[in-house]
Amino acid sequence: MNAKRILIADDEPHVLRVIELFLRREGYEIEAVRDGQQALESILRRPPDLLITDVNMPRMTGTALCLELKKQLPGREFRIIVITSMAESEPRELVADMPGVSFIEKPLSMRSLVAMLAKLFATSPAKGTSSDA
Amino acid sequence: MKNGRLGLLLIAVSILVISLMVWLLHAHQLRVHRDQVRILGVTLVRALSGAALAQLVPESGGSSLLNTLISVQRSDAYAYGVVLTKSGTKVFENVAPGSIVPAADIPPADPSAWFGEHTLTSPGDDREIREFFGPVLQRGELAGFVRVGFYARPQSALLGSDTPYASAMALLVLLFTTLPYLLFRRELRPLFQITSRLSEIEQSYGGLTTDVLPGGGMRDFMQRFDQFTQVMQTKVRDQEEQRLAAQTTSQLLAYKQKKMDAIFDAIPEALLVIDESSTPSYANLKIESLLGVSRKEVIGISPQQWCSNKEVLALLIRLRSHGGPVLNACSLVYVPEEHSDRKISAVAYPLSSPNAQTKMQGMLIVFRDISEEQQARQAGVEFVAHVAHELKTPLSGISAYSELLFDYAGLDEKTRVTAVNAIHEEAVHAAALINNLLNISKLETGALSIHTKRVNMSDLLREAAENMRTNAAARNVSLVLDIAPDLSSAKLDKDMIRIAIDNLLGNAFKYSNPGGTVTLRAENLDDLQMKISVRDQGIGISPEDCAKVFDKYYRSGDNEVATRSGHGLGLFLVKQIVEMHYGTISVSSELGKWTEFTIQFHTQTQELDASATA
Repeated sequence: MNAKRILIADDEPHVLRVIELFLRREGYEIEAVRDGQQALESILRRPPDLLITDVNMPRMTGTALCLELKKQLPGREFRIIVITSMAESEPRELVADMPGVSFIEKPLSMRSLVAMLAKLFATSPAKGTSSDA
Repeated sequence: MKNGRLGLLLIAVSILVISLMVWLLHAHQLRVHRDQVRILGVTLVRALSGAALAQLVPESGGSSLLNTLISVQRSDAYAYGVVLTKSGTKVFENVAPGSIVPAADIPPADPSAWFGEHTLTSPGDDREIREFFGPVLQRGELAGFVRVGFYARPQSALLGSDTPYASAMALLVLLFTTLPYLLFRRELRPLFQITSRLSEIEQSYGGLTTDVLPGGGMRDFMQRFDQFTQVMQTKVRDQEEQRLAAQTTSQLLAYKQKKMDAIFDAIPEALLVIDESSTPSYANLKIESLLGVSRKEVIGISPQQWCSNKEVLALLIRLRSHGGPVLNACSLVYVPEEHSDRKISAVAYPLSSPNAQTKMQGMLIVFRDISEEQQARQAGVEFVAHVAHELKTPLSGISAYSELLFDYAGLDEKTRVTAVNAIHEEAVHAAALINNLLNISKLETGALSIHTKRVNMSDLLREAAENMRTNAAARNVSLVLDIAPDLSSAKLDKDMIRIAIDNLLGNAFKYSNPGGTVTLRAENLDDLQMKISVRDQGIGISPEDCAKVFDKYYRSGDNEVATRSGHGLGLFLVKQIVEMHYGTISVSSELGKWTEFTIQFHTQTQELDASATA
């Protein structure tokens, strides 16, 4: 079985843990990291099928991570879900021109996230984005 | 008028004197004339009496002695000469032209009465005639009489011989009367003018009762002058009193003005009053700090000359371009060119005329520096956003774990325990945040008070540390406890101190990097002082931020800080709690390496309680 690989970046341990638990149960292959820097290193090493990232993280924010990916891997399309709160308008503006970026609002609903993932993977031929890793 | 009367009087006196002189001269001339007439008459009659009748009445072709003597005498007063017979028959006469011989009785026979004189009246013109008569003898016998008449009064009133003398006298009299008068008049003219002027002044003051003295002159002047000086004295005294009153009022007004100025200068706002032409008539001291121009550069000077800001200038000259009816208050907020970090609000209030409420007489413009207000408002807005964000993070955990428990009935025990613990911890985290908010709210309203009791500090610190263990493990941060074995107890509010310690530890973990260490250290400095410190090996704080970390809502602009959740209230609350225990808190740090917060307070708080309630 070729499960979709998802990279999760969040500095809140509980949030990170519950997303990991949840999505593993949904059958995804999960890698969890604590900050943007670790996420970038992981992506450059082996790009996932999808990245789920928080905005406020130590060392590198979620927004900075997106911009860094755009800069280091130009022309490459990523599926990214940014966990944000309504109070933060900045991330949306900064990554507005990036294709493949979606947003999910806090407080996080796992059901919404799972539904969102199912929809993304169902409509997209993204499988195999990691084939050139 | 009085001057004129004096002149008339002098002229009348002069005429009288001259008339008297003329009368005396006339009388003198009359007396002289009569004397001359008598001498002439008597002499002529004596001479004729001695002559023979034939000499008096010559034969035809001869000349009478009478004619001869009369022609020799040649007197203007001569009227006639007549020779009569004893019986009174006229035998010869010599009559001056225009004269008529009056009738007269023949003297009596007594020889003593043959010579004599008497006064007759000329029948032609009623002139008085003095007639002299004497006998004409013929060989010792009375042969007739001779009568010679002379006019008793001269033909003219005054004789021409005395006219130059009389004229000279009259001239002298006139000179001695009119000349002094003219001189007197000339010298007195200024006096009369002054009197007239005084009269006008008195009338102009009104109510002055100055009766014009009959005759006027010096007495009138003196009386007027006296009254004038009295009036002037009264006026000067009144003026002096008024001047003193005005001076006192002026000083009082100046004092009040200074007092009002001091009040207006103490107001934090800058005040500017402009008149209908938009020219400032008043400005307080603050105008300098807010508008950058001194009062001297503003008052009485058109705004175009000192106001460089176009928006403010438009506000100031709005009145002039508007004119007339009262404008509504209007305001603007602007950023001064020279201080781009400041915001100033200008509100213009109309000043309506006291006489006509619908008409404007100027505007009061109040300038206020609203930079801090705006910053505070901005900080408040950001704070709400932060708090909302902060609450959403634990809620996300709770929500996600709840869904996990709900949706997956067949979870293994370990995962279920993890989920339940996580929900609990996130709930505690949210509650702690809410507690912080509530405590700060209480602090600000003065509702927060401390209730001290003896607390085992070692236990309190260990509990706090234990509570953080999960957090520490999750963040991969070690927690080291360095509590002195002999640490004393302290009298303080246990719950409050726990909030402070929790906040310090929470911050230390939050700003630590994975793999770092947080050290909680406590020791007694002496019998009375205790020191508690929390040190991390995290991102550190810059010296500029160190000075502000205890300010309410303050969050560093540092990128590293921005990436970590926070609401800028924790350290503010810690400081308030420490200070309520009469303690101190300090921070030291090296950016990028470590941070250490140190609390120091008294352990024996009885005295502090006493002083606190004193």
